[in-house]
Amino acid sequence: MVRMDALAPAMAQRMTDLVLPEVESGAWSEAKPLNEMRVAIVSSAGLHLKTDRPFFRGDVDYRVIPSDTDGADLFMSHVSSNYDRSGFQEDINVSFPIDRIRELAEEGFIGSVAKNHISFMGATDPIGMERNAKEVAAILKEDSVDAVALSGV
Amino acid sequence: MCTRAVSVLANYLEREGFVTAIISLIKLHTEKIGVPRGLAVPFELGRPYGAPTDAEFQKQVLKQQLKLMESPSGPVLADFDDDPPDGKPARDWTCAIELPPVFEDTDDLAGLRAAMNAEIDALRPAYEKAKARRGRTTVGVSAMNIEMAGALLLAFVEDEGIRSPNPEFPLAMALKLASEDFKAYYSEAMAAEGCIASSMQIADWFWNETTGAKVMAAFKKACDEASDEKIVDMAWGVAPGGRLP
Repeated sequence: MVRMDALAPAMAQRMTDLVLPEVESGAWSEAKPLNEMRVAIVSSAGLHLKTDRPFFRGDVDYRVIPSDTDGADLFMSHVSSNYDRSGFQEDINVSFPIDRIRELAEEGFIGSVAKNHISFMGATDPIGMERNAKEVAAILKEDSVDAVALSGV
Repeated sequence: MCTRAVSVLANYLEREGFVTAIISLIKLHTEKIGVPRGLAVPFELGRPYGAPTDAEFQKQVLKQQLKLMESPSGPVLADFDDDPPDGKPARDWTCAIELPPVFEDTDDLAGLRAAMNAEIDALRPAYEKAKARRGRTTVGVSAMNIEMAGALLLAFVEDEGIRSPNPEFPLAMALKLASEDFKAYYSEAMAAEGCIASSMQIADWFWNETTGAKVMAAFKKACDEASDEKIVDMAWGVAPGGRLP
């Protein structure tokens, strides 16, 4: 967990006080061996192609990021300022490990990389994302994706 | 709060039959929501894979995340214990770019605008150098150049009745994107070759030592006092908690 003592007191308090949704959390999918699975990245970092509409406050939709996207073509329009962006400015992989996952596929650590990855924008009540998550599932199933590595900022 | 979002999304996607594993930057949130598989990391917000430009470290984190998928049963919430390499920022780092004095009077909009433009010009060589080194820039999400983005922020301070410069974006959105481009320009300028600063040093420098921060302060105040509720609501995300009133 991010070190609470490294945060401004107001931010640490906000984290502690944040109202969290109740979600049915018992689902469990059986995995194949890692080197047989096709893996997609799902991020909530508010990432999108430069040609896509940026995210804005309240957005619960998503953007599709083709796996062969050049890092120079990615923008971040997350609405929060309460996290570091200088890392992403230096290297997209610190928040969206698109090069690392390709390397793991080349090394045989995972089976393959999905044709598309997905980004939401995480500063929104995620309960509103459920319908869109079903759409994302359909996109990933169409591509025979088995597994999803999620992260946010 | 992204960890909240990815924790919930993991449950939605697992229900659809996918094997999911998340990076949790805020373990407290993941513990309360519950996920099938999670790796809690000790990194700063914004850096779920730890360290920029350290491919081996990023890969180590990603591999541990993926290995959770081999757990025979769950839920499982593991800890990644290693701190990221810090890139060795100098403890006594100071901005090497000579800037004009900070313009303090945020009520003098003509003066503030002139000082802002002078500062933008002073930072341009470093910004361009960093952009060339990286081969990319994150400035441009507002679809305005940096001068236009800064001018829009101060035009709004002067008159909240201005129109959005982009018919596809409501004014609140155009202002927010312009403010992000504005801050990103400063942050990227600090990454010119040989200018190694930590994320905290960059933020401290921007918010404490630049006229740009005064522009942001005037802009945030105008947003807080705006009659458009969408702009008041958007103002929450203009500055990190505690940096502005």
